[in-house]
Amino acid sequence: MKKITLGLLALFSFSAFAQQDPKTGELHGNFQFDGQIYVRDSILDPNKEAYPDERFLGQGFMNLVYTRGGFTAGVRYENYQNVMVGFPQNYRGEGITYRFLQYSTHGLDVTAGNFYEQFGSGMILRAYEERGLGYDNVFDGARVKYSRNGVTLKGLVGRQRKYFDKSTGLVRAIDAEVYLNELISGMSENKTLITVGGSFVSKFEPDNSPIYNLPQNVASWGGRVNVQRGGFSFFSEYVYKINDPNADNNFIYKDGEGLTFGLNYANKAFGIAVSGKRIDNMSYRSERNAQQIETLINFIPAGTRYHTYTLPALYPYATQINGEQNIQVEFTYNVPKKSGLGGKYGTQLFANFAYAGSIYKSPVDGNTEIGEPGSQGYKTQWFKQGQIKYYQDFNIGFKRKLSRKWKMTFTYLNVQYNFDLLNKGLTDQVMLKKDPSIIYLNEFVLEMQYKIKPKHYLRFEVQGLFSEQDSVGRAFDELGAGSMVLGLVEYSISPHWFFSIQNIYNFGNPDENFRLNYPYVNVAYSNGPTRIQLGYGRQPSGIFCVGGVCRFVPASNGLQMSITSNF
Amino acid sequence: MKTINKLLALFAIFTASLVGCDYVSEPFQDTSGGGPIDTSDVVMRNILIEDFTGQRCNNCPRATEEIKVIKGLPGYEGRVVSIAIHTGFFAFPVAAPFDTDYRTDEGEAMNSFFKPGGFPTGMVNRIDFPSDHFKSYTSWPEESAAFIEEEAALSIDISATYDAGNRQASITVDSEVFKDMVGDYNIVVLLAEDSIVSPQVTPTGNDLDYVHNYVLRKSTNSIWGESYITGSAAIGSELNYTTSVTLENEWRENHCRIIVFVYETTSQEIMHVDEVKLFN
Repeated sequence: MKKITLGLLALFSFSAFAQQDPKTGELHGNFQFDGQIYVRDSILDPNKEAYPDERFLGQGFMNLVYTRGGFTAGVRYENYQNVMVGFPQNYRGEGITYRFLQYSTHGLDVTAGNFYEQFGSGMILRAYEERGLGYDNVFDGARVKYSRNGVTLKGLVGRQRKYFDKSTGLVRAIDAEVYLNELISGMSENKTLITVGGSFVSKFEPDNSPIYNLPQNVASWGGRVNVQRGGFSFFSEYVYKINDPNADNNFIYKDGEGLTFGLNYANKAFGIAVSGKRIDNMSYRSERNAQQIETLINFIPAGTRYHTYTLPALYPYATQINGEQNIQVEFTYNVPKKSGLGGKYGTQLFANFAYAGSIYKSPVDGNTEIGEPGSQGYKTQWFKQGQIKYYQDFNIGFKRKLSRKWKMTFTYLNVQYNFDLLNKGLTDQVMLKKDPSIIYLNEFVLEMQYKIKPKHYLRFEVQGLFSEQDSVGRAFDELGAGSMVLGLVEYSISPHWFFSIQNIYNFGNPDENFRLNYPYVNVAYSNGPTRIQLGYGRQPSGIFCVGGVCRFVPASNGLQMSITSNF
Repeated sequence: MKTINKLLALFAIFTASLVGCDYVSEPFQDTSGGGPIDTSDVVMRNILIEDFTGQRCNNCPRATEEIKVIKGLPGYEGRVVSIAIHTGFFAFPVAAPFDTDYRTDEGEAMNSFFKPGGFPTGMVNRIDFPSDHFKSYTSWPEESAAFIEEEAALSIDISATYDAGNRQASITVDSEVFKDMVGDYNIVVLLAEDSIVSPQVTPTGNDLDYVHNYVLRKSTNSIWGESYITGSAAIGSELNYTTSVTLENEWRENHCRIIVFVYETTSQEIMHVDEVKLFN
């Protein structure tokens, strides 16, 4: 193994001198390092959750990819010295975590080593990485793809990454996708574009349980269709999974299934998007006892709007892989320029509504509780609303250019957030027995941008989050952080410099000791592909989510630094 | 087109060959637990489950229940030892009723060293250190099963005496080595207390009369213990260790137990563990 690694490095070293020469191939890469010096803050962090013994923690990675003709090879080195607060603590040490060899010729594409992959929407299989979360479920194995005449076939076998180790489970999967307009000659001129696909995935994991008789081979399959015509598009996918008792579903033996759909229409003036899904017991991991972000074979998107502003992002929704019903409607309308509502430069109106709740559950019989381990779990009905609300978000706003120098964006949000589910991780069967704690949030964000002169910009944000409880008498740990406001000023000198100062005041925290200010200053310098950033101050605790996958980040105080670069 | 048809046919055959999925029919539960094991003439390797927990961790009682289930499995009686280490965010005392502090210096040191990610979590004989040593509580039965048919590398015979006058417990450990052991091994002696009635957040709310068991109170010889084997120990070697601990006033001696384990200092893996009650 060492010889192979040294050989690759030698290859890359040689290529680095000749990266623009097509005879010897091209070498590209990127590098990132993040670190933080932690400052003791006994008010913010009385339990020293964010004050590690090391005082300084840092982690980073470097990717190198060499390409010559149809041949590609890549390698990634990662280091965690030590892993930063809030990231999965199982990332310990350093090493080569990703390496692959790949070639493609005449429609055939072969990969040996590590690879990422997605079938359809990912509801049955998706391997990807999200470094901000510490999420990486890459496969280590072999993959073959073949594409011809509108038909794409994929087959793979591999084990998934689990920190610096691998999953005990083995994944085997195949997928076929057919673009009918290319395959069927009579459809080539048709304005309606149709793609259909089907997948089959199976995992193997030995049964070593002294308590349960567990299935060692767990299969799932699914089909999908994608139709486009003009401004319209429609996508839907259905997947089914056989009995898969695991830690997520509390070791029930019920089969799983999922349906997702999306219908979109857009033209120059307006766009509308309706999407929804119904998920029933679709946790699918290559290790049945894995938890949080470990060894997930599939991916189910949140189906709610992903908020990027700081305060709205403090209460995100995370997909409930054990079961949920979700519907989302998004609408945008561009009011024409020089109309009464549109103003001189035009105005964009936008609105979004999303709802997520449990699927309907009832006991399988009179002697078995809902979700009882070692049982069929529960019965459900497709067209009956579930008993528990998980999340609801209605947001509306507009973007408008006020003058040649000023732009503004305003957003109002009304959010209902199931604190018991999304922060405390209570299950449906528990919440069916108690009144779940719902936090009601009214939020606004006002963003203004001002162009001082060419390449000099100012940006301001004022945000407010006003929190209410559904009933009195809740314990402290059911109340969330309460109401808060935020002010932000950013100054950027394009293309090199960026400065910002921000403060959050948590004036409504239920615990008076935590009615704190969270000041934060930030400076960044960019030069071509390299960016260096420094930030200092307090950061509130929160749930950091990407694509519906979340991790808890404790409140911290300190100096943060980040370097990113690529070539 | 013929090529495509051939490929699709191959694809279908490959798919069919994979449809070897396992449908499990009732009964779902394996009542044998691996079956009783004849341990009459050999010392079997015991299992230590170190349960990282906290009084404000609502899912932690589930982990405690899982330990009870494992200890009750056929063939597992007397083979599984547990210790509840109250540490981290959820163990931090706050306003009443969660104002009792069950944290210990030893538990905090373990928290800093082993770095649990989320609670509840735990280690089973500390295997897979340093990257995968924390196991979700649902995996503890499977992790325990990996040791249930394994013979111990050495014995641990504990005898404890208690002097009520000065509240001091004296502990003597005798061992015999059954397999050649290479490496450095430390011995750790812990004091734990059972039957502490005190509030605990549970999935269904606050239980003010929750019974906490196996609560780590103290290590007599630091959480990392003292050297027991240095370099190697041959089959037949006999080892001996003595230590003592003074009980604090609020610890009830009739609910205390002594837990002793030996671990390999590089891998952290626990080779054997046993326990006795301070009063039998």
